[in-house]
Amino acid sequence: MVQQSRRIFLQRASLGAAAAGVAVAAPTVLSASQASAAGRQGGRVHDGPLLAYVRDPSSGDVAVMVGEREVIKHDPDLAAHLAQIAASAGEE
Amino acid sequence: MSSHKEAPGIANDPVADNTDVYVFVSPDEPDMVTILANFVPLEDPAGGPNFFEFGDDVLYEIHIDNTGDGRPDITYEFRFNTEYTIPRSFLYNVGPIESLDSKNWNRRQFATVTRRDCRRGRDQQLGSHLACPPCNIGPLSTPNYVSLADQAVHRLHGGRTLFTGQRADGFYVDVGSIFDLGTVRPFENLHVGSDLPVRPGVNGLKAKNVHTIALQVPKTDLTRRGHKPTDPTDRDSTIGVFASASRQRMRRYDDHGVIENHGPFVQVSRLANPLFNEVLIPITKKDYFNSQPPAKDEQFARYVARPELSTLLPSLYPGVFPHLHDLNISGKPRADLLAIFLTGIPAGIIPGFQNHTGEHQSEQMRLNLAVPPTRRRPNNLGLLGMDLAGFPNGRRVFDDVVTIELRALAGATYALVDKGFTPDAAATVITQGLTSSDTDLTARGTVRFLPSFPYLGIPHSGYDNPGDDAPAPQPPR
Repeated sequence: MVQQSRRIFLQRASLGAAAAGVAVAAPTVLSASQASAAGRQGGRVHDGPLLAYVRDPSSGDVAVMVGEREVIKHDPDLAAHLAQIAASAGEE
Repeated sequence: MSSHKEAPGIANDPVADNTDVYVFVSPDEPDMVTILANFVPLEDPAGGPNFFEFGDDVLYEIHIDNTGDGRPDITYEFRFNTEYTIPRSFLYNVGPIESLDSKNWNRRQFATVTRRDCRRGRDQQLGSHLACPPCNIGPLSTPNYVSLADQAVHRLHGGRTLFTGQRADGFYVDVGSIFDLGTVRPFENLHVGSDLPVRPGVNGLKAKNVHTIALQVPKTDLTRRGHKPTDPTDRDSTIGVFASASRQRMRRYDDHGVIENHGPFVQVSRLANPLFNEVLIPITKKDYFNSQPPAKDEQFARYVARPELSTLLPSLYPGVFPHLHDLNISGKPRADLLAIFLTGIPAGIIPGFQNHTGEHQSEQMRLNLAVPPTRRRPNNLGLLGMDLAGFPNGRRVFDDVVTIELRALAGATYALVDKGFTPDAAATVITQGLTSSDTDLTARGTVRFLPSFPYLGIPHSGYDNPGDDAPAPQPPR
């Protein structure tokens, strides 16, 4: 994946990102848009690496891991959006 | 290393591979209990340029169950961190390491230990930045290794003592023979289809090192009531012990050689009784076993009740185990093994002894703290040799656990629960052939232990790197 198309994917992801966070490859690109979206909603935003894992997109469960902690969020929209990103990654 | 590379997954993760657990009332300090949890199997002494060490990204734990429900009531947590003194150098050391703060020592590791009261949810840090010794490299790099290792014995608050680092592996086993289709020296001539001559056993680990977490604590640190047990018949005199290693759920490799770990810790290795996972659990379930808490071990009971090796022995040695064969085909569950491994031995089975923690099945090392250590002529066959302080009442460093378990699997202990059963004569004499007698505590000189903490011997030197059958050289004192 060339840098330009990677940036496009990340920007597309940020438009639909939920406040809970999104799996990112370049946190610096997303954090600004993510922060502004969450800030508008008055929520806290994690600043730093995080990892999101979706075992089964149809379940709607997203596991977000930060440090030694794990939060499992039931968010079908987020799970579906991540699945779309995954599918488009396979098209590169 | 009774559980070395015992599962396909953990075999590829040596720093998290729990190889042995020893638990015993300290023979030189009978108010204290020593627990050794070993990791990193099969360390060749010449281990450079990046010498063996604990994993900074592994959570190591020793768990104590003093209520008999298979769940930890007390947990000691161990974490490690590595620091560089000379980051621009490619060397582990640039000169002799004569003290743990030597400026010649580049890559060094430190331990932090925390005691968790699981029932009350309270953590107490017992020590931090506790130096591990370097590996025993050789006479130029680590010229006074005994002194170096002694410096890494840390006295902690509450009368506790900790050592974390390299030691000589004390487990002795004819590993080459046993895993050659269950050949047992010196009985190989009786093996089906064998034309092998009778030969003495070979200790396949005699020149290997291991990393140990050695902890010595007062008995009162471990019991449910915080008391010092004196009555062997009291159920509160017995504790269950197991060790574990855990890794974070996710690992990420970036493009710059940096590894990130994310998420909660997940258990990837656990060990209590020697050889349990190695010999009793099917290969496709070994990593699963490692992931499970002992409180759920009822799910593995069927492998103990009808062990595969017990069914194989009559076939591998025709005519040698007729009574075992009859027992196998009777379908009766091995109540003796279920007791030894999953509940402890109740009172009334062995005169004057019990280490029963209740009916809840969990694979733990059970130690009756009220049984005093055997100081005069301990027997390496433990309970089978009527030495009540030996395996499976805990496990001492010199106990011949392979021979004990071979005899048990061959039916030697079934008569304890069924008075109508007569063990085969071979079951009472089968041996892995590494000791000269029941009181041989050195496996014919191939292992050496210390009379005091941390009990495991000085690690083999990389420069000496013993590769033949010669016994390991005596450490200078």
